[in-house]
Amino acid sequence: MEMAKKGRIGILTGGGDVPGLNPAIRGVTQRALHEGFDVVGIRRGWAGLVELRRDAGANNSECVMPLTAELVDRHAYTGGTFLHSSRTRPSAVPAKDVPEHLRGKYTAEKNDLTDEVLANLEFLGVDYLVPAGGDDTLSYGVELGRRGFPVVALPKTMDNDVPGTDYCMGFGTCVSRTVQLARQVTSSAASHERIVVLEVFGRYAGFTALLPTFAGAAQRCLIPEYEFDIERLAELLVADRNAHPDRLSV
Amino acid sequence: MPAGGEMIFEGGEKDQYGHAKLGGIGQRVSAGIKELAPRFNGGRKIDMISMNLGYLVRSGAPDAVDCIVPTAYGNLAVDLILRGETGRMVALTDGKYGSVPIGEVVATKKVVDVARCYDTERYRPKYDGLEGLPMMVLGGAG
Repeated sequence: MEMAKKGRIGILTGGGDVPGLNPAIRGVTQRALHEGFDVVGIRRGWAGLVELRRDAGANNSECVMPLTAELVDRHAYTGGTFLHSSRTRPSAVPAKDVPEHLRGKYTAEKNDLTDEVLANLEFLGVDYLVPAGGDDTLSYGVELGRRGFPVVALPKTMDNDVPGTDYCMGFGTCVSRTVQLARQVTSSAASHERIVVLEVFGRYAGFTALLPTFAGAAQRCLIPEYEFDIERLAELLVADRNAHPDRLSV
Repeated sequence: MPAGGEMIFEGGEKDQYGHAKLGGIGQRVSAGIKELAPRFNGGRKIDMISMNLGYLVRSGAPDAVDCIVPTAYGNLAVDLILRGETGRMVALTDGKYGSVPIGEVVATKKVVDVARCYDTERYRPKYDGLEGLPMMVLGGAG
């Protein structure tokens, strides 16, 4: 006898991909299934909820997929997101990106497709939405919440700059990789007694430079929050290089 | 960013959230250091390596922290749903799992606390005063 389901949870991953999203999808899905929910994955971030067709017989495999314990476990320790992602913002969809089946209804230069998103969530039978994303993706989760839809968000960004939490999924691996790559390049730097400059992702917050430097990836770092003097930087890096046993600096 | 300068963008196209793609600061800094280095090195040039680590940093399998925390976050999200506590974002605060109102995401900007975390004379992190800071030391909730 099948137990009555507690409801349906939808999960999506929006914005930039990071390591950690697949473990998060597994974390939600396996626990939710155990607790008596069923779970669907919304594909390609908010795009899956914008592009879904509610016509009988429509093929929505690019927009939604059922999630099972076996499926999420298979992907659990891989990078990126097997649900895929996008930077779609349903409340501001440019005319050229409005799905074809909606173009007769939404004709402005920028279109708010939230009514479609809510109708699609109802069509899918989703009772709760768990979006994983950075501040952009989750800002739309805030809007859905204001429209009364139950949302529980997971903070994700390799920049670690989502407010309200010490830790965003993806940041740890970002730091690990940066340290590893910086250490790797020192053999070439040392061989020719060079100064190395490594550019890392990070839009308005400098955590992706600061924490790897703290961990030993570099002697100096620059962050968006502080205006630097290139002459001072050059003086420091030349001194670092000349004092280093291998005559390099990073 | 450079003193008296501005953020450096690659191309002019913006995404649906209004963000232009940033990039190129590494090459600019490298070129500037290469030009200035002889001044601090007795007139002798120094060769540079300039690399954008880019997608090498965000691709590939998660490390231990990015297996543990996302799994915990996922379970915490289901806990909140079971308790009927929606409109929340799961969070780590001072080393403990919890949640905050989802509106926190848009209430402030989280940036490096320069006074607490960054040595502006030495262009490096601060290494003192760590007692009481959360695990990611310089990347707290702010």
